[in-house]
Amino acid sequence: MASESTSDAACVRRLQRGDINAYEILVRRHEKAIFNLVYRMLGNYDDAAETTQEVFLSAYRAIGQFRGDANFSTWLYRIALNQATTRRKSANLRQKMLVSIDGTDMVDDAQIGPAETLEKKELRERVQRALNELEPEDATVILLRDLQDIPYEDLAQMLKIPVGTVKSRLHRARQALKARLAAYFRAGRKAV
Amino acid sequence: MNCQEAQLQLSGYLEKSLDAIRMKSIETHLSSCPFCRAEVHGLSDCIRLVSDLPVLDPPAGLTQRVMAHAREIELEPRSWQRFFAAFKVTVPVQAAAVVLVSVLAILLYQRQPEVKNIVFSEKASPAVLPSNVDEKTNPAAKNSSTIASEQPSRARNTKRDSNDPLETAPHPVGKARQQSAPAGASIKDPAVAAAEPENAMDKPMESRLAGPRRPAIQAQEVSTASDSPRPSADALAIGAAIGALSRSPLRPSPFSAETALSPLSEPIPDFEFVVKRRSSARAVPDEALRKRSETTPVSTGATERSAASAPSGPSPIVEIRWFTVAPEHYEQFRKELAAEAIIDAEKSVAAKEMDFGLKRSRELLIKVTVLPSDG
Repeated sequence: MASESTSDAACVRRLQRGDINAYEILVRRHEKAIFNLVYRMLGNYDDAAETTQEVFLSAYRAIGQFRGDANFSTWLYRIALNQATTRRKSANLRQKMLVSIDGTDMVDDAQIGPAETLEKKELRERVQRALNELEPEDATVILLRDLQDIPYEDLAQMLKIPVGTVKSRLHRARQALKARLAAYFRAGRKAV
Repeated sequence: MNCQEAQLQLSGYLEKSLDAIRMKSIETHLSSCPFCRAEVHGLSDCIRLVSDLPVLDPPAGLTQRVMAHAREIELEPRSWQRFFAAFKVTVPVQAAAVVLVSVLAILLYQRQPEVKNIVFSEKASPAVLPSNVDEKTNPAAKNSSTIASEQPSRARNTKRDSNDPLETAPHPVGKARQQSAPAGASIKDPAVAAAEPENAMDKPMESRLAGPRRPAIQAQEVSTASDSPRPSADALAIGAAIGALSRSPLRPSPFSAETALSPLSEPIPDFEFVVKRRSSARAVPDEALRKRSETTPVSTGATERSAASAPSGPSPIVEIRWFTVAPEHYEQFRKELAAEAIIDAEKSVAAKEMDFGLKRSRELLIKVTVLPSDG
């Protein structure tokens, strides 16, 4: 019987032997991280929920091909990034993203609580909009590193690029994000 | 360290992932460079803003929905399982395909000489080759009841006579002429020999070359009405064909058992004649036939088939003969028919007369019912 303490590798082995209950443990364990990554990539809650479900189903279908060379989470993130990037590139969704930015805070408000100020809410919108405007690969590396706090080595494995390339890409992506938030920074400093 | 070098390492500096020496160098540069200091503040703010983004809970029931769908999905097999699964599925299919192809290849290989000979026969068989030739050189052809079934045996016969026509014959037509000449010399029935003059051997060949490749129906052969109703080649001179009408009715039909033609399979003629033999022709059939054949023009190019009725029975019908005649030769055919026999009745199918204009473009199918002479 698989339990919550069972490692990813053990769950995968059990799943590959046909124990579908092991997959439920994996889904519960990784759904939050995958959902948040996808949500920040897409900027829309409903699309993120739908895409997250597709990610887990795709992983389930392809679990027979998972050889265990990398961590299950790394493999799962790769699937999530591919699907989110594909969805993000959709022209329809791009249009939808611009519309749905304001809706993001409605979701967040419920979780942030009444103590949050309007300024913080506005700031989150700006950051999300700036992330949406970045190239998908720049947004990906920023989210994986700064939001998910994934080590460089895992990033390199996930993105299939050398660690040095990850660092340089991350630096370039941060500068691009800073450029998009420059107006906020100038206003903030003036306010301060 | 200059600004360019420093900015390349600012992210590492903020994450404290650089070694101590580089960290110290950047700190030294930042203390003296307000531009790089502003840059590092900006990057630090970006990292903080992203990392401060709230972590949302996924929608309730996501796991249940995923698992509900997953239970409906049949798991894809692992790579080695897919390999063996593919092997398992495709091997029988491939094996069956190989066996099928092999069997077809063997069959084709076995049939290839026949096919070649059939093609050769169609190209080279003389259209006016008397039936006696077939009867003499190929008894199987004698017993053949249809032209279609006769072709392969004739092809085999051609091969037997010449070993390999494709190899020995420099030209199929020439080879056919070589074969037909001596065969014609050994014709048993002089009337038939007279009906096939030497120059008539060439003319059908020329007309055949201009027409479709179907071999011409031979004048002396008995065929059923189930044959193709329109042998297109004007292979036989009309005189020779009509001359055959004056053969002695005492000559037994080779296939008396097949004289009853099926009404369903009988073709619909464009014109139908009922004629009676002239008594003089009966008296000296061979002489008359030979004489007639020598003088009959061959330009009409009638192709004749016959279906003899029971020769020994009391039926008044002796023979039914079929001719294909080019429309422009119809009148000549009729004249020569009247010269050879007494025309008792002549009729054309009414429905076909309506599109007679269309028929002008093709050969006419004529049915001649030959009755015994009154005398």
